[in-house]
Amino acid sequence: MKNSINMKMKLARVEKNLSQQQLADLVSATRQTIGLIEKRNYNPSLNLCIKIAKALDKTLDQIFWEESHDSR
Amino acid sequence: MIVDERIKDVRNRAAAGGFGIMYIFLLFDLLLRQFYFKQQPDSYWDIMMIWFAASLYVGIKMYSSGMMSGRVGQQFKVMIPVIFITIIATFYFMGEISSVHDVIGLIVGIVPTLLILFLFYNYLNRRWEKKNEMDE
Repeated sequence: MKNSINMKMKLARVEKNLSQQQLADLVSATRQTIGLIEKRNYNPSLNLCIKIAKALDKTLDQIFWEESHDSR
Repeated sequence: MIVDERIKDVRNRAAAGGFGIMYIFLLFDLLLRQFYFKQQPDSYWDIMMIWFAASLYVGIKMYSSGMMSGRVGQQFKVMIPVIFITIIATFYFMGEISSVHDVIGLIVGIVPTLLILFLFYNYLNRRWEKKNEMDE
């Protein structure tokens, strides 16, 4: 069954002890946008993906890549 | 206040939707004034200018951003007969065409306008292709 939450991103954020608001501030986005990305209700641009990956000290693969990618 | 890409995206889509509604309703208003209320063009020229300016702006944006790359000639091949038929039919229904001379007069008026438009849009498209190294 497909996970409807981007757990990789959420886990990476929790590992870094960051709240959604703190991550949002780091990447110049709003808390709502971060929440929507984690819930997979918003497809961020590549620029924002890179900013998030850098803020969480991960690579794009580690946060956004999925083996059975469902593009919605 | 942070304006992130999602907010910008939603704002742009809302603005584009609003523009689309206004554009269609302005055209509807122009047609209504012309054919239903039989108003003279000099009583609604300001609305007509706004509609034409908006159309020109959309064209400039589309052609200068490469949306029509490789399709400019193809586009105008379709556009030219449609514009010709529309204008001639409009003038015919307005009772402005009574002879072949009137039709020829209209064609003489339309051709340079379309030619200028074609050259201008073609230039914008070429400029975009050159900038993005897509010249063949």
